Amino acid sequence: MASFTHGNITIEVDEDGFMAQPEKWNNEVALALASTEGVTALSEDHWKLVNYLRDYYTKFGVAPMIRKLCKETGFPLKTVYDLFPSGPAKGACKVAGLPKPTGCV
Amino acid sequence: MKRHLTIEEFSRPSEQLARVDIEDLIPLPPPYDGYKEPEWTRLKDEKRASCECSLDDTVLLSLPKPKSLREERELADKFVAGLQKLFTKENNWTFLQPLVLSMEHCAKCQTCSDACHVFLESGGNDVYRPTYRAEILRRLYYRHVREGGLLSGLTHGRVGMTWTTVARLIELAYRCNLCRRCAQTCPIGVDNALIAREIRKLCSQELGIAPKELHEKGTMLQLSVGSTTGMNSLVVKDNMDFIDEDMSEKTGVKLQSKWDVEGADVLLIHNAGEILAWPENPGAFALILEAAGISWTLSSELAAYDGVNYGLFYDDAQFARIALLHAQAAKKLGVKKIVAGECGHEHKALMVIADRVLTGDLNIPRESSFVLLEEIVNSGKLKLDPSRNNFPVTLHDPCNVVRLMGIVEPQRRILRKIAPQFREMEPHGVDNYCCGGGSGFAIMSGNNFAEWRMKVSGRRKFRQILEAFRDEPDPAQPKYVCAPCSNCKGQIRDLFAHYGAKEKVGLHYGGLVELIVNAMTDVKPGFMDFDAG
Amino acid sequence: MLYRFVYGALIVFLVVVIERVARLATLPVHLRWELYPVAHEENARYGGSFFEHLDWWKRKRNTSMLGELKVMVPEIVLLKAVHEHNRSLWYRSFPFHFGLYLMALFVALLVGGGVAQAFGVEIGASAPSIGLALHWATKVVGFAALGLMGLGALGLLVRRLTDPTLRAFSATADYFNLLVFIALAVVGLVASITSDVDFVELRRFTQSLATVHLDAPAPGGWVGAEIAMASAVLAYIPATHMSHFFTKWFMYHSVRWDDRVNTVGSPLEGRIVSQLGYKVDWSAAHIQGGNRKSWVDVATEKPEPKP
Repeated sequence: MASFTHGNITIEVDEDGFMAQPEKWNNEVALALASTEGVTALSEDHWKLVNYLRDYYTKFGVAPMIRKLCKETGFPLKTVYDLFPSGPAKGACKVAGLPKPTGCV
Repeated sequence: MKRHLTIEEFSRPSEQLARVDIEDLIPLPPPYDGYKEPEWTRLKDEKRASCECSLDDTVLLSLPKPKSLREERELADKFVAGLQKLFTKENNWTFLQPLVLSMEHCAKCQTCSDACHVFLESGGNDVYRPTYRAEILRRLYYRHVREGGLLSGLTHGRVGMTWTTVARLIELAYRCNLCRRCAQTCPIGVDNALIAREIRKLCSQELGIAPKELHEKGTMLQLSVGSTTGMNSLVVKDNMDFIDEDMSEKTGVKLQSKWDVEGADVLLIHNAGEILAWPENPGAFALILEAAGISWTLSSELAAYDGVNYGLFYDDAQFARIALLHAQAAKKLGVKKIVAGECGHEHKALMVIADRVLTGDLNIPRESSFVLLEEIVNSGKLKLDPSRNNFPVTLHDPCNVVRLMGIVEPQRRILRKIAPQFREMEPHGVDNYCCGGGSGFAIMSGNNFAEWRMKVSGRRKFRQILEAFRDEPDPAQPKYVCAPCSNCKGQIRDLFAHYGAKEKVGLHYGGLVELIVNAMTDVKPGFMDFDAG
Repeated sequence: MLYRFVYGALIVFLVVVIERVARLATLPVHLRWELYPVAHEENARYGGSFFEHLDWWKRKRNTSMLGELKVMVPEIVLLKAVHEHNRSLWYRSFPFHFGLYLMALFVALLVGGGVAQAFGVEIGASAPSIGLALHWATKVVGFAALGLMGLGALGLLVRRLTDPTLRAFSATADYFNLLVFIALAVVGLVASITSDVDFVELRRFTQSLATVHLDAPAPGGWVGAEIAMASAVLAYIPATHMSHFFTKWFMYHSVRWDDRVNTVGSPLEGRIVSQLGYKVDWSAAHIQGGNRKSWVDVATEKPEPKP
């Protein structure tokens, strides 16, 4: 298991750069993870997306469908990509501290 | 530069046995003729120090390095124990006969190498020959299973039985897509792809070594939660509700998916990944089945809403467990047949491999959705306007359905009917090439493995797609690759993203049912929206 | 002595072949692993299977023996797969294999001639009808067999020595095997040209062999050496990977083309049920067979997730 340090926090991540222990997520961790995605600051829109993902994951133990994410946050997919260039699954989910999506997705 | 590898050096520790230089890769056709692949992302030094990654430019399993020589020896001995079990009828009745036949008759003529997309696209790197990993196992077999003693070195060649051999061999078993194109060309009938699968199986069933994507986050998750995606039955129902709503809005046809209908004719099992990643696919299925008046249902039983069975790729025990859950769900509902959705390995797992696992009342008829869809399209129950699909379309043949099951024409007959600009790739049908994501690779991308999947294993498919649309160079003209398999779609999605193929060539991809729905006159025009995401 | 040696070699050949066939034929019925095209299928032309039909289990299957023959005959006689997928190898492999087929025919002609001779048929260049035909057939086939086998094996050996990939994969035995065939061809040709150009001596030998006249004088010199070598080769082949001349049948009929469907109450199902009772010894954490659990036990239990 690899780890990386951002500022004064160290985060354990898997081979794909996703959090190894999603339960240790907090706002600072989100900022650190965002830095690995080329996102230097998190705007209100970023947080809206991240918090939605976080809530959904806490409730259901899995990432939401992308279309559902768009519909319920009101962001078109293009905006999601603008916010997180590597997309909803690889980018936004990672920053929200979700583990890497599994199965044929 | 590539160099010739010997079999013996496989067991000798070195920093990296084989490397594919970017210059070795075969150039792509236009508009990628001048394109140069980015250099490999080098594995981090700390990774190299802690894990076994001495095979090639990438690493999949990340096996921790043993801490002592003693531990190395123990692991190597365990491998030998597993190897011996692999050749007993009690432990491996499932594949013993084909395995023994393939072990004992290879003439090492290398004919199969030229059939392998991985070997060819790597620029002919010896390490990726279908014969290379097989030859190592053969030599170990004659020495340690047939107990040929020293004489086996003369008769069958030598390779050292060291931890390095084992670590590299496990890793190398995951450089084969199990597409079995090599076996098709063998003049004798040897199946070197089976040998890759059996190495994986030995390691999983004896040493407990398998990629986490297949085992821990794959079959184990499916057996405990119900799906490899992590969706339990509540989440999957909630998501399907959402899909119904979304589809109804988009198509103007009111839709309601069927759940747990007892006595339905058809139990449809999707690859659950479709629901999360390509929701229009299960949506389109529901719409077509409803419009055709088919008595159908989905099941919310454990594992029965996910047709995935990764056991097919690496483990017979896990395979049997999941196949059993699929059959039990069908039995519980009392359906007439199970229909496999657009998932290649689900087709093969459920219809072919499970055929000699399921007995008695669990042996419920199982059918391909391609066949049912053809029947529906031919029945005239759907009003179809092919001109809605008037853009160039090509078809990717999922190996599991086509070469390995002989379902070749139904999907083509549908396309000829509904896609006026349908054209074949070359070669196609049972001679097709794998997408490069086969045997679960499409869901693996840790470290730099995704790069290997793009540069090496997926390159042949991308080449074929470009060739199929060579007469349509304008990127403003959308072109559609119909890939009726979740795993293949994942790989093709990644390939298109890697090459920027949507922008540069106008390439899009998706399944078969989406094209059918797009042609339905009862559906609002523009179901397929090439401008969106 | 030479007679006994030939009989002995023949017995070894038969015993090894039978043992190997028995070993392969009695292995458990395995999971389906067919590969299309499957030659006996109706749509073998493009590789189609019975799965292409709606409700395939309700439909009567039409399998075609002729379809299998259409693949098997060109494959066996002409090595079609090598021709199609590895042409440069075919130029060497085909003469070699065809030479071996002719060799078998040559032996058959010698034995046939020997038996005919025992019944008083005169064989030779000046003999009437059948004797004349046998004389020439044996002569043409014999020289063609020795020549093609030798040249083919030489071609294969040169290729194996000069191609770095093949060399990397070759064991000592692979060179040895080819050398054996080359040596046999050389000895055979020398024997024939120097002392038995009409194969009279060989035919006299096969006559005594077929009629079990062990006290008849056996040939010595080159011809004797030729007989001894050929017998030894015959005994050796089935013990090596060259046994593919008969095990190939299993590779096609028991694997590539084995699409037999398991139906409820069938003998096939019976075999599967009994095999599902085999005890499992795999020791990974998610199985822990320990020779206590059967496959049914393993398949019906839920593995414990890792702590």
